[in-house]
Amino acid sequence: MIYLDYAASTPPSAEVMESFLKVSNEYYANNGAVHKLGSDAHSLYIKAKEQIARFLKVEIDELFFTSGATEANNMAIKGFALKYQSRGKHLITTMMEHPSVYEAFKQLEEYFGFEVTYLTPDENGLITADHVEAAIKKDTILVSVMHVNNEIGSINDVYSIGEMLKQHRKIAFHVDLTQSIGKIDFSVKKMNIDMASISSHKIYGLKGSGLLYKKSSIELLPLFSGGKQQGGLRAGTFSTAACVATAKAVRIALQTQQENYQYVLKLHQFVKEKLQTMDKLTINTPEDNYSPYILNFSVKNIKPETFLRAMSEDGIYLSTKSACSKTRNIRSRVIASITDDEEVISTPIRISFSHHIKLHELEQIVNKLEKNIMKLRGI
Amino acid sequence: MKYSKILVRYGELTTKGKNRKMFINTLTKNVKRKLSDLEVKVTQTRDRMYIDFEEKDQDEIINRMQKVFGLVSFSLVQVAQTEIEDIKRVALEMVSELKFKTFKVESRRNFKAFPLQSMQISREVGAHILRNTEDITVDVHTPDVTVSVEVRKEGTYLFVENIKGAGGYPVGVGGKGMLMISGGIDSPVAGYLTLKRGVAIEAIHFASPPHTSDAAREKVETLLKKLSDYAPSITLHVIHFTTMQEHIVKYVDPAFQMTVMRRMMYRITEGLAEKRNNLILVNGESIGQVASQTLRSMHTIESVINTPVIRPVATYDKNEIIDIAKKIDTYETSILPFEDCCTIFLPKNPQTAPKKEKCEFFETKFDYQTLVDECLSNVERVRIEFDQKEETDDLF
Repeated sequence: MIYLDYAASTPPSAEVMESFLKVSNEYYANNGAVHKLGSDAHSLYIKAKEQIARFLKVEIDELFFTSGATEANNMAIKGFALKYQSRGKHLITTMMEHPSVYEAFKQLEEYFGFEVTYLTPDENGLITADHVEAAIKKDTILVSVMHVNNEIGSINDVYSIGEMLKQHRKIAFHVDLTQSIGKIDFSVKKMNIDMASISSHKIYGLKGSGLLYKKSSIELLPLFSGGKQQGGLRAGTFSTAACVATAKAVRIALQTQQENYQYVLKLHQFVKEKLQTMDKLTINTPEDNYSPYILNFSVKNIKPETFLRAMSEDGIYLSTKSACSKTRNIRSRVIASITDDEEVISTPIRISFSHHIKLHELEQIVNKLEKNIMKLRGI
Repeated sequence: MKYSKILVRYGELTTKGKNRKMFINTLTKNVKRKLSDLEVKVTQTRDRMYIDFEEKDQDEIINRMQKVFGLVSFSLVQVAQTEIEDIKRVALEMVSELKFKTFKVESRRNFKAFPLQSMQISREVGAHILRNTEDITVDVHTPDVTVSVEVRKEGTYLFVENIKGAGGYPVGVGGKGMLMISGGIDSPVAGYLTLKRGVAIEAIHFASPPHTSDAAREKVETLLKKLSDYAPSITLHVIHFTTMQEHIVKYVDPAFQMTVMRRMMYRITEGLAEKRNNLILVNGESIGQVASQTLRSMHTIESVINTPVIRPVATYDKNEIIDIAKKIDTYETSILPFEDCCTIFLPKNPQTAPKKEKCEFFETKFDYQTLVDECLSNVERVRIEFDQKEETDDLF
């Protein structure tokens, strides 16, 4: 089996699992409890936050544990829009966002009377500061632009967007960092980011855990009401074990980022070069400003689902677009935003890489890709 | 650009005449201690300190250096050969990765045999940068970037950025003080501010088990561990205060219990300070914050001892104290809800203007001196160091 769907989820590392199990077994008390075991659990929670804050170069009271990036995106976007709606009801995001961002904006539009501008990327699949600036209105209060796109791997110029937004002090800037942490460099401070979302299971952590970064000067309307956990922003007893596991996953991801990047870049280039020699095959991942962790392509006349099943039978696991999108309708909103070619739009295939992939597996990967493309195209 | 050398400026120390050498030696010792687990070479000169380190440790070194008191600022430096062409090359390389519109070049020629004078060096380097960049101009008054060039015989140092240090004096040059630490927000901040003035600290904590919990005591250790980021090490003395406290509750009018308790704490702290050669007591009292911190209370309490008491946050507002607590990362720990012995027997209506004579009267009702001596002969000692490993560390 060769797993090539690391952008959808990764296997938790042994180190992370070890911490998770140990904390689950030994520090099971409610981390809000007064007794010793409760306070020990609470100290672990604080240490976890401290470690993440140190690695992300943020303050510890700017971090909140969530059930994942989907929750963090919802908390940030809806929580901000609803809290500050009296300042304005116009929001800006992009056509290429992950569903947990895109649908959150749709909901604000449909049920809460917000006006949303959905930006279309340029031909290189990028959203630029100029795009965003042109969409700003008097009553704009929030801009949300993802750093690395989860389907095609394009890297938006978040730095310039953040720089530009310094001139618009009323507007908050949210960035989905799910596909960049541990892969592509970022600095929430230098990029002038007000809120950011991070997922643990994309960096060899566990599913069901993630983080919201939020500047202290910003208040959010909590989506969950209840106890005063995590400053009242997210009620509910949270898993100490998940916090510790996330802290470890973040540390390992950032400490090994440089080294892994160089390796993955090699994998990406090798497979891309092979694909480029094939007919009627379009590479959807841009030429420049891309994350080597993702390689997206379309093959005309091949239904992606069929192709994925054929590859799966050969023991190679790929995906089409985000696993969070409806699987029935393959038409990609993201790819539709960079091309008009309906055939390309409705046939996306995504390979997502990891340093776990062995060099000797590459031959096998490209051989199977080639074999199945040839075979299915014949039908 | 990768760096592997830091230049450190001593700053305020330069005004200290005779003591200068001792100050610099202490500072160097503190820096070495702080970086002891990393591959570094620390070189001390009359007006500067240089630290050579491995490129990969850059962020860690900067982070740690910002917690060493006695440093005004430091810079990451590149070393060029003492030869104008190489100086020009390195200068251009350094600025080419920065975003700026205006700059100036400042030169110092320590190596007087160098053929160009300072002004000429600046001019040559500036011209070279102008020729090889676009849309950049010189502004000698308010430049975005200052390129500093220091020509020395063994090599020429170039730097473009001053990183702010923690300021203050090197910890240790000002002697030692005994910090009374409860676990609240104020006392760690008081400790931090004391360290900042170069005074090393030991800490005293009063525990009254089972009325107070182990967790409260561990909280104090956690707070001191955070403080020890700014000090080479801190010794914590834990006083077993239960018997004393029970006597106070039994013999003293409730309205005066708190004041008498504080008087006992001061007596014990003074006794410990004398044994340990600490010249002052330090605490986190802030004027008017609670009943024991009115001026009348302070007066009545402090009258039982002769050692000076320094209260670094006496005049601070709570919010100002909280800001510092957040900066030094003690706030989140301080607000954990464990009762300490100051809160556990707190009467509903303590005296805010306790008369000294009244306290003295209640103190005649039991033999407190014996209890004070017992507390002092039964001290538990814990040494806390910034790089101490914790049991849970491997979980992270």
